[in-house]
Amino acid sequence: MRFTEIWTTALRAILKNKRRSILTMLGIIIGIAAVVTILAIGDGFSNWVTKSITANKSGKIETQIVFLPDGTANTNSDPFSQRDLSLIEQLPGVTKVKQSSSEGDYKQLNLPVKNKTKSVLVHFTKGKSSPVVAGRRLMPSDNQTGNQVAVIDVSLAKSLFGSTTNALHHGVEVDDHLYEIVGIRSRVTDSVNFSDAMSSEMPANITLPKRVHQRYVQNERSGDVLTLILTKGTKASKLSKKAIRILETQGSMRNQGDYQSSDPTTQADVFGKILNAITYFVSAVAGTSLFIAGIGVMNMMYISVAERTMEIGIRRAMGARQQDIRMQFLLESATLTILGGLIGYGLGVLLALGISALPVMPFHASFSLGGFLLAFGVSTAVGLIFGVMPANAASRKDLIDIIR
Amino acid sequence: MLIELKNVNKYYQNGSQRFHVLKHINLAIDRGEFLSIMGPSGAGKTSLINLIGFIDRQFEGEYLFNGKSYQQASDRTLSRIRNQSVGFVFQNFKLIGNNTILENVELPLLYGDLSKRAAKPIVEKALERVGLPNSSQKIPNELSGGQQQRVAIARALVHQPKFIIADEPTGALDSQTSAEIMQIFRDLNQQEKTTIVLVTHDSQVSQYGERLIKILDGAIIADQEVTPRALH
Repeated sequence: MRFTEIWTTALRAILKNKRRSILTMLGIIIGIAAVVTILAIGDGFSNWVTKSITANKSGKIETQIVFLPDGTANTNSDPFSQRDLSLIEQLPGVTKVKQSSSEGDYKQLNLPVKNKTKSVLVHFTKGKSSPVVAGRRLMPSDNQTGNQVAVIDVSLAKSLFGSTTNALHHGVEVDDHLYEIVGIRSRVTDSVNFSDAMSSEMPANITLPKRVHQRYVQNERSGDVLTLILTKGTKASKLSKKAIRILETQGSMRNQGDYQSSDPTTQADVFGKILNAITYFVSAVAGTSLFIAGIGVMNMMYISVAERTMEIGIRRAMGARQQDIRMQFLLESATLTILGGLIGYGLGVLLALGISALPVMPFHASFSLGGFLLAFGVSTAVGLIFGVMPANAASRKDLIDIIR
Repeated sequence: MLIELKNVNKYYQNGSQRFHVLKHINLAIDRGEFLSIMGPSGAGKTSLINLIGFIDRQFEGEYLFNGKSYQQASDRTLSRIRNQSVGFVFQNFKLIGNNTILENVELPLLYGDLSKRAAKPIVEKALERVGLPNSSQKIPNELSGGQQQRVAIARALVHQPKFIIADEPTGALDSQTSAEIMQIFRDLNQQEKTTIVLVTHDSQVSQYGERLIKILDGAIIADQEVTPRALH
């Protein structure tokens, strides 16, 4: 018999027994849906990580290494020698190494507020600050001319001065220097939003012009940060580990402090690890589900073969070969699981879209042809593997025993 | 000769007992013959036609079909022989209940590698031949016993086999319907020269054939021509 005719027969047999078929498919549907969901979310996550890293600065991947001197360190000497730089530059995957100071754009600070100390985040900016609710923003000119001014957030203004209007034109003390409050920005919540953390600017309680602050703390540390610019596709965390290993064995200041990587993607790495763990867990659950579903399929096929002994006999008498009968039942079981797989894929897509629509998710699920092919392939394989034995049993029935 | 059985013996092993079902059968059937095999239940009629119809090949002796023996043939070859050369009509019709009449009748054609599209007009013609036009989309349960047996006959002749084996085709039918069914067989034999091997235990039915074989306890006890006198 032609393949298409056998397949039509198989499909018809499945549709004849709708309820039984759907119940049998359920395991496949759940298993495939779980795999598709977790794959789509995983893909979406890794897409988002690459995008947020490369989008950062001029489309390049960067990682940083910081030197932390211990007490014995001679503060006058350069934390990285010229030789250190060239050693790291020679690492494969590194295109450029830049040395800079760690005086970053953010600083955590303890501020005395009404007999208590409060931890506040200070942001140093060279440009415009975030929009304000009262007063004015910081401007690039503040930075250039060295105006000793600050923008603080509503909650800090209230706890320091009672109200936002009171706070304007008063002073706030940062690192023993007084800054005039010229603007009040909207409230900054304590819990730092993950997606904000990955963007370039974190909402800070106090914003100061960078240059003004640097003037006072200038000689604390200098040149203690190396920025490695990497070629596309390199894993930043791996490479910075390598670089640190080289510095720890050959670096000029290796006896006077520690080297640490400050990888902008560490947060993403942690999230990625959690996601990986979830992926493994879901995969294990899905695998178990698929296995049990496969046994269900096998069971249903055995029942189907037993119920249709007469049909098999008639077909054999009409000239069906053993391989025709085997093919018929094999296709029936594969069609059943493929149908389940397709339904499961659809369900998985909906589930992934639903999850990525949740407000806590900073990224969207991403669907690939590979995910579809995997769902299709796995469901086909389950049908074939667990259908072989019943199909063989059907084909081996002795005609003389079933036709009488 | 289309079919030649030479000294065929068949045994059933039943526990420790060996049961001799066919005893020294010698039988030759020519093309175009209408042969009736008659005998009481348990005489070995069905065993004999299962053997002739390539359903059973556990026997001793020689069975030549068109001069060739298929006793050692593969499943593939036997299936092909069944598909090309034999048409089966059973007592209890043996239609696939879930399938439409069309799907039942087209089976021999599909297993002969025809497409459904090519098979359909042939099936319609066969249904017309047995007096059931326009019923191809019905399912077997919607038809009466006589109609179902007509469908089974259509299925047996749709692929123009070398011979048709009918195992008590009227066993489940009343005498009026039996006569109609037997008339179809008779027309097939006389108009289209189809070879028919018919099994029955009803002497009335056996009168439709040209030749009658009586079988008792596994042995042929009579082989005679049917005189047309019994027909009315």
